[in-house]
Amino acid sequence: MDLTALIPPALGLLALIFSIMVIAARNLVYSAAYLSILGLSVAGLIAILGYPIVAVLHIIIYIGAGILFIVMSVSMIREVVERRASKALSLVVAVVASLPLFYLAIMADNPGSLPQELSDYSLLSRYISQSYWLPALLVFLSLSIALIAAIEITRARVGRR
Amino acid sequence: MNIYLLISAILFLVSTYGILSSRNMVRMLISIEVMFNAVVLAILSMGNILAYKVSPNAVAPLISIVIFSIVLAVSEIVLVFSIMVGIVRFRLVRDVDTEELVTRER
Repeated sequence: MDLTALIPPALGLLALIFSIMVIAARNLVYSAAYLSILGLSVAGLIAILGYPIVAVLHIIIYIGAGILFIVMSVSMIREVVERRASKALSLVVAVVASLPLFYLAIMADNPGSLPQELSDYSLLSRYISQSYWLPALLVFLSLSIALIAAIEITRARVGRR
Repeated sequence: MNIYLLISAILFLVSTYGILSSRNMVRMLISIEVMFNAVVLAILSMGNILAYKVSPNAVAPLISIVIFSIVLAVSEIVLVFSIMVGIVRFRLVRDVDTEELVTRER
């Protein structure tokens, strides 16, 4: 039996377990930490799909920067007794909202990993530099503005408008 | 059956439940991040289907979109969480409960 065939279901199971733990954890710092493990397992699935560059970016930028920021921010906020909304209604709405994705998952076949010839990232860099230069510029600007705004908000003093 | 799409569908279900069932801003935002992971996985698995069934060149725009969305998600995290820390620091609310933000007296 080929053990490599078991890796995607195992990573998927790990992602599902940790997604439930993210929602169920009482402490928000633990919740953010579980989110990082969920991100790692999703990055593994992305790499198995045949997108190693996206998986590396997901780990470096998203988990390395984003989730670390969440953990640091959450640790500055006082823990509160959390009120929960109606669980049954939330579950019904969530099931209805995700039904199209379930339908797509059942109807679509499993194509496997990306062919080797498609993993040529010179094509991707050509796309970004030629066809997508404006979105790339906007993304760069939005990240810069978000960082400057975050620094300004956290340095602001009480009473200063 | 596509296992990657199935995993993303279940992640989407869990995250939607997390957003709707919570009144805590931080937990709602963390649930939105779970949803982001689900959507990234769904887009890339759809990219594999497109590469086999439509055209191999259809994958590169999808990868570009995913890379841009990862960077934008980090921008969103940085901005929203700094606003949240600012709200708590300035004592605008006692905690990060959305109901308290809405019903706060001016």
